[in-house]
Amino acid sequence: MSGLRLRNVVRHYGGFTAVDGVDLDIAKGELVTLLGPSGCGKTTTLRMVAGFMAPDSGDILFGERRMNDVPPHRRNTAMVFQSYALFPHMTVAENIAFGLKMRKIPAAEQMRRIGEAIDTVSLRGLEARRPGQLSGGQQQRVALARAIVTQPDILLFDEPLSNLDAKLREKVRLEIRELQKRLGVTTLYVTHDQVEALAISDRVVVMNKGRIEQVGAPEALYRQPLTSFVADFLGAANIVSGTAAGDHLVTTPIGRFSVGPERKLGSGPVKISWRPEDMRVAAPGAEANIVGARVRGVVFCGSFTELVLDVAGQQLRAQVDTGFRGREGDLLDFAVPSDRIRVVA
Amino acid sequence: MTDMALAIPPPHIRRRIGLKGFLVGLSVALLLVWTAVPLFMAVMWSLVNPDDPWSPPAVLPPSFSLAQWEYVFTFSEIGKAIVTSFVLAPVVTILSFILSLPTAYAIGRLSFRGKEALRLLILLPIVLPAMVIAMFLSRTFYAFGLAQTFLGLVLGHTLLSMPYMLRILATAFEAIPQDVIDAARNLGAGRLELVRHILVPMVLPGLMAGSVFTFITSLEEFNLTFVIGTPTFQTIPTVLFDYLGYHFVRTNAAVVSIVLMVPSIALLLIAERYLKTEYLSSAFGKL
Ligand SMILES: Nc1ncnc2c1ncn2[C@@H]1O[C@H](COP(=O)(O)OP(=O)(O)O)[C@@H](O)[C@H]1O
Ligand SMILES: [Mg+2]
Repeated sequence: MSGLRLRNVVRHYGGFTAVDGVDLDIAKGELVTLLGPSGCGKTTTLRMVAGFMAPDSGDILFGERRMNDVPPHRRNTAMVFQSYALFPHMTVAENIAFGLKMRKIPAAEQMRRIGEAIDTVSLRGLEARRPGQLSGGQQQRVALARAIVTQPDILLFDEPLSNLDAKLREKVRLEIRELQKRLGVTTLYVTHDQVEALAISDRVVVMNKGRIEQVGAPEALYRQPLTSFVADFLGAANIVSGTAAGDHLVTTPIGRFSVGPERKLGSGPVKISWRPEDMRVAAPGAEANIVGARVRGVVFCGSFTELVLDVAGQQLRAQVDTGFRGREGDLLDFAVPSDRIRVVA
Repeated sequence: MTDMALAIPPPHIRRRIGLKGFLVGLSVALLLVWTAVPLFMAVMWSLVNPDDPWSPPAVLPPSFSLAQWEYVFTFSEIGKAIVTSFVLAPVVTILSFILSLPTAYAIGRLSFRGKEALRLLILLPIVLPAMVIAMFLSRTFYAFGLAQTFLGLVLGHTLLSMPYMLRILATAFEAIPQDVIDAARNLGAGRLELVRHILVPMVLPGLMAGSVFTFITSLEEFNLTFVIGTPTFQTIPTVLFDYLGYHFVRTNAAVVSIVLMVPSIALLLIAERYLKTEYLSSAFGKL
């Protein structure tokens, strides 16, 4: 078991830069997620860690050891593929045994570890089936068992849940996290689903166009996005451009906002951002950070009601509780607490 | 009769069943005309008793005998031809496999310029008229002293039947998902282990199917064999030609036809089993 470090890793495809200087430290036993839109370089990064391709520049280290020139079969990583990539001509048991066989583990120990892995992912009774005779969820479990049975130094996941239906996805997500914690294995996890990333990770790395946008624990990232990209990609965000007018004041086309005291602004153009759930209907007589908005849409979402608002031509979103009795066309005052407003790049 | 009458579904369903039934019936009928009827006729003709001729109005020969079989095996080179054909076909199949392997791997797994052109080029020996190829090839074979030699026959047949092996094998290589190969490497498989545990088993159905097609093509090849092989070498088709051309004897031709058809049909049935092996797609289809 070891930590994983990426040092200024760059990878091109022809003239296109898919991974553009990624620096990342993952501690022993930590689960870190690469999160970003499709095409931002997540899979490429993962494949470089697994050794399927080499970085054009930069280093990949497992613990203190530089791995750039180590072929994939000597890296002791284990990857769970989006497609599962099971061996179609082998049974479930043979699939799980493959990594042990390659490592020349004695037969008796192989049997023991395969049995353990099969129990861990609840596949008892299906050992003799072939992948083609399994459901998607079962195939996913085989892929997971096949990976953990080798006791890898580093566990890699490439969108492992994207082919499961929503209910199953949540269940397996929890199981993967539990298993990972129990094994204490260093894990690099890739997804484009922000909810999944927030739910499963110790830390999340938001990627955009081959670069790291921001790294942080799920809550910190959600509460304190540094860029409008992060604010928008992690959940929904209202993003408004304006001008700094003093240390804690921003003037925008839709009004003046006082922002949290933790950062001095100076002057010049800035962007501010807040979450829809932080915007509420203003109490009568309130004066700070008030936005007068026209209600354009009222959407009941079960546990909350989503409002689409129009303020001087700018569209905003608000989440209010389901007791909201306003209608489309109403003109209402909304308040945004200043400690919930983030200044973003 | 009454049971059937009761089982007739209401009109709107009946119409759909009618069309479907018609199409199924049509395919079965075509298949029969295609294979079963010729085979049946050949068997009948081959069993005609020479002392009790079979003439048109009779549906079946009036009596059966093995006289035609005895005659053909006594007075023709069919015995030697069978040996030649069944030595030639496996040798050609193995040679085709060895020659196809690198190209099939390259087409299936590597990307390079001109790949699509190469794919088409491979098809040429299949789409060009066999007689034309035979005529032009024979010149070359005579020039190199390969005519009237067994080696010449092997090379000629290989050239003509290899496209099947090449195409099917390339498709088999292509059908292996890169993820599966990566997964094997990820789990500790080096180059040799990858070949042994993943590549070979996964292309095996393709290899079997390709072999059967190659084998059958060699078995049935006539044009080139006729031009560069006879009279030194006879194969089953050239013996058949003797009975069809110079002195046409339907009963004797029927015997040779059966000798030619039965192994081909048997082999095709074997290939069918391998072509049906769905594990290439099955592992990844359940998304
Ligand atoms: N083999 C390849 N050849 C050329 N471009 C590629 C290749 N693989 C990926 N890319 C490109 O590199 C970028 C990053 O790809 P990838 O790492 O797969 O992104 P992600 O996994 O985040 O969706 C994408 O724009 C993709 O089109
Ligand atoms: Mg990807």
